Amino acid sequence: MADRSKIENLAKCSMFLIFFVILFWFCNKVFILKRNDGITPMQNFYAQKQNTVDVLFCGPSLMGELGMDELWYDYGIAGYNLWGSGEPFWNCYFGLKEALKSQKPRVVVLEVSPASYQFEYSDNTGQLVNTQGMKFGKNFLDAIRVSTPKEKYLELFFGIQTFHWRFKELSRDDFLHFTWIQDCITDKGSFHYYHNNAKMDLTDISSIVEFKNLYPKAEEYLRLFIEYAQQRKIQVLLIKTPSINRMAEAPFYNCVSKIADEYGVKFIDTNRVSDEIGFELDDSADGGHINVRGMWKCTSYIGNVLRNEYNVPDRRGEKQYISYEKYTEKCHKKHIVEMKDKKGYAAEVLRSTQKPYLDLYVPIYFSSYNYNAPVFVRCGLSEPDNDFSWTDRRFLRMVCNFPKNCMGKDLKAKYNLAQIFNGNQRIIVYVNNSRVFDKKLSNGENLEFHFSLPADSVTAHIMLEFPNLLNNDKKNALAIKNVVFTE
Amino acid sequence: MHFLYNLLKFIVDDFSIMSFWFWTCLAAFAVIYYTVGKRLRVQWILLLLASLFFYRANCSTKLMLWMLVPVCLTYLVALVINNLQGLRRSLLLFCAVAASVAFLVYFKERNFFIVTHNALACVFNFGHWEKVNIAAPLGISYLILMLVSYTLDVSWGLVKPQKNPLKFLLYVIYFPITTSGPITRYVEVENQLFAEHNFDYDRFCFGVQRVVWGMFKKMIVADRIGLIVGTIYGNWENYTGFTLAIGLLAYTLQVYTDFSGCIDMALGASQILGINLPENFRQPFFSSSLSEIWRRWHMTLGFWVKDYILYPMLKSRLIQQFSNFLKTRLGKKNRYAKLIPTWCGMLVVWFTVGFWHGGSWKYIFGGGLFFFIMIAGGQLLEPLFAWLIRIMRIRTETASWRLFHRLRTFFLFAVAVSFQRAPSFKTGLCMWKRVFVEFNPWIFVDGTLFNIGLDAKDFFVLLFGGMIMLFVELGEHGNKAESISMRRWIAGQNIAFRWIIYLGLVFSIIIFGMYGPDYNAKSFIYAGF
Amino acid sequence: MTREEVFEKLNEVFRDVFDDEDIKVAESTNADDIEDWDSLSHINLVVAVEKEFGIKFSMGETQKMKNVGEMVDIILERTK
Repeated sequence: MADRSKIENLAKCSMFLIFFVILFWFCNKVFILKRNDGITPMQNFYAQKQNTVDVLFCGPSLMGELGMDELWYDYGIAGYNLWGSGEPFWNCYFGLKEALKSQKPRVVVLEVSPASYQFEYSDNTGQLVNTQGMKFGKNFLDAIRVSTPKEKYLELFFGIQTFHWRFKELSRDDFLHFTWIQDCITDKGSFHYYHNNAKMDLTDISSIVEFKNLYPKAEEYLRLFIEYAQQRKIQVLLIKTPSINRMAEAPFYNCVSKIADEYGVKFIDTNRVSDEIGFELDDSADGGHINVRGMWKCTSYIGNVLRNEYNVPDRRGEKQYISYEKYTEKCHKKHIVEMKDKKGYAAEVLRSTQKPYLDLYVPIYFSSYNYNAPVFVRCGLSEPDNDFSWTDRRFLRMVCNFPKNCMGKDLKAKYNLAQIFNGNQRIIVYVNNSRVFDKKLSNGENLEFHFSLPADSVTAHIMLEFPNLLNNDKKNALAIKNVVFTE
Repeated sequence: MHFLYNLLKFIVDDFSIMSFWFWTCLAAFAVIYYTVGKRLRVQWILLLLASLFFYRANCSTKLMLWMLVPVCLTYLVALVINNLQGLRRSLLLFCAVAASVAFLVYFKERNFFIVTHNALACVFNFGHWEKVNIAAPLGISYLILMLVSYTLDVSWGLVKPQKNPLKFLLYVIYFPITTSGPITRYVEVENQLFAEHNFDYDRFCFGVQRVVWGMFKKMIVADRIGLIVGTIYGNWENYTGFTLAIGLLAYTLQVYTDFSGCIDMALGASQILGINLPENFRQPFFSSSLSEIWRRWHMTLGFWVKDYILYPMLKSRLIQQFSNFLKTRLGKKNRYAKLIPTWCGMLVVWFTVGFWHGGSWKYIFGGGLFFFIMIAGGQLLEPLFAWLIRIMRIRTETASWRLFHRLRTFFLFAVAVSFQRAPSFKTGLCMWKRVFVEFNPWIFVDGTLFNIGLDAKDFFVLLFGGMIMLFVELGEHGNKAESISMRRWIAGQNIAFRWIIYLGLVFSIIIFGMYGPDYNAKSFIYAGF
Repeated sequence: MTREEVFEKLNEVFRDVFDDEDIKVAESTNADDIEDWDSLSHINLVVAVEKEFGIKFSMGETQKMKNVGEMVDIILERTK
């Protein structure tokens, strides 16, 4: 009798503890700060399919600004951006170890800004975002041990200590942030900056040859990082994205260059090849990070290196890599929405220099009886002085998504034009690949045509062709104020 | 070995009763206690080792050695005192008690004498002394009271002196009580500390539940009130009227939830090990008078001063002679002939209570003399009050009258306690003056309440936690015996309900507790004694 | 002295100390039964009892007494 109650008690205790552990795990997942500057890149990394990452990018936010969408779009390179805010080399190292458990990249790219960090431990936020995304395991424990002094081990181990305050700001997203609910696989970690609040530092530092030694702990883990990768026959590429203060930091990167040579590793210092890459003053978001304009140039350059010197394959079309397609599409949609300023659009156009047409996703606003679409079509030639835009491409394609009740309807489009250049223009309009307009217009006229939406879709691909313009000869076609669609 | 030493050092970095490591170690200790300890019959030795470790972890070696001085003294005196007679006996007793008290005063209340000396120095023109703030051995205020109680109990024949010095040491530094009491008398724990304890599942569970409840009170309620109190006390010149009053009165609530939460944790921890310690709180704010509240608030202190100061004083020949003198002069049936001698005793008692809290006037007044004034004043003016009640036709058996008494008691008690947190007695007076400078009832609706240290969400968590506390206290109020009724009631329910409550409590603490970075939960109010 | 006699005398003392002519004490009477019997009046009571019976309670006994019955036991022992 006594034994039975003992067993009963033991069973009750065990069940209770199990409930507790499950609830505790759930609490942790809900309360953890879903920061996309370290925590979610790591969390979503775990959701990637096995061996679908060809290039792993590690580093602080200066790495995070590189867009994996651009890499895929231009080169079909499957890259994942495993970065963290202010991530020092030791966190990069443990992140690498963790990543290599489930992926076998061909190249590992490390951004070496942490070479200029002069601290033993990051600040509190840095410690959190660079460790809390990791799953429980030896790497997690090691990361804690190295990232923080011993008084704070418990704090990082039980992240709930910091996150429980979030009870004041919980949102729906917090409760849905589980891999089986959310589509974590279609995130590749990059963070895009859209603003341009400061000019890029484009000083010429070719004359700076001094060396400044790295902080000992930083150097130790930089070496460990490189060695760990090389031991597993993974190639390493070190890069330095544009710095906020080139001259002050250059000596550190000279030192990095020396270390790179020691290991036979390539080091691309964008501060020294800015002209080759084509950086301009406006490519910077806040002086330290590049915005999407700069990102396109930079990533393009690096992608080129990866393709030609490291032979990273082109995965476009492969079924396993469909998440990259989706990611790229997601990012592009976001770019169009975010870049509301004309300069952004100009950059958008500039980057598609190879293409004969400009692709635009135009947001449609319904207002009373018509549908308005703001059209910003800039080509970066010069500042507009009025509130209209013009194009110099031979083709201008606008993708318009109408409200659902427009399916199958007949619509009339009116492009309010501010100016038609060169006297007159022959304009051909195709809507969803069928020609609906072909006439010459002269200055002062507006472009108007009819078209029908398909019965099963609300999307109209409206292509304007200007046959008089040859590709890239930089003559203007017309200046559009806006487009109004009426039924 | 090196690893073990490093591990110990790492743990001991912070080993207060609020630390994670303390509870983890306690869990591990309980396992050893009930397995190895029971089998080898060395449970009390394990307790002693644990208590030594705890003491050393919270206190420097030097102070620990200092602590041993009065302990050894008391131990030795207790062994010999009953062999002496007459004058020598009284003298030894007096010296022993005086030495212990002096020891306490040296460490804790020294500044009182320095300040008094400086005041006299101003008048008589001699040199000033510097105020000194020195570290004291852990729990010295509680320790000394326990030692004095032991000495007196032995001399009064209430208990046999403990011959084993190690067992005596265990009594003095038993780890659940060193931080903030309760002030435990030797008779209360003698049988339990050195006995063998079997593992009792129910008792173990109740102990754990009590600990969790204590954490709930401290981490969710007390520390939140602390933010309000800190904001208002820290900036009192900018507050007036009701806002200031809220801060001043809330301090008492903070002390209550903090202290009683701490006591719950201590008593719960002890209960896990099978040792029942005396209660310190019994729903104090349900009291109807200031005398009653001191039978329900910090009970062990109240009983201590009653048994070891008040009674000896009132029974002493001096007071008896004074009493007889008054009786002959004022008449045997005269109220005042009975009251005045008790007032003398009470004055000493209240002064002591206040002085024990701290050696400055804000403590002496806020912790003691205020109550003396109120109680003695109440007794003095009793005929007046009786007359008022009669002519106003107040019915004293109604619930509304009882409620009035409770509210009045709480208010007066809170006023006294509020002085203890003020920077000084004078500042305390200034603060209370400011309360009446402005009549501002609008602060209750214009959002000020969310700007005095807690934002709206924290405020609601506080209110909700407070309501739960109130509910539990109401449930326990009816029960005169141990405060175990709530736990038993829950234990009598079905398992799903029980587990929802237990898990709910635990996760409330994890989610809503005031802990973690940016927050220091180790500021016990009564642990500075 | 018989037990009943002691109780008679105690009634007197109680009525005197608590100023209430209706008090009648029994074996189990304790502080909960008499309204004004708090810690202060307890000591006055003890002193009055000591005076009435010409005995002295030790501090230990003063503390240990739980009800009137126990008080009577000690009185009887002392006055044997």
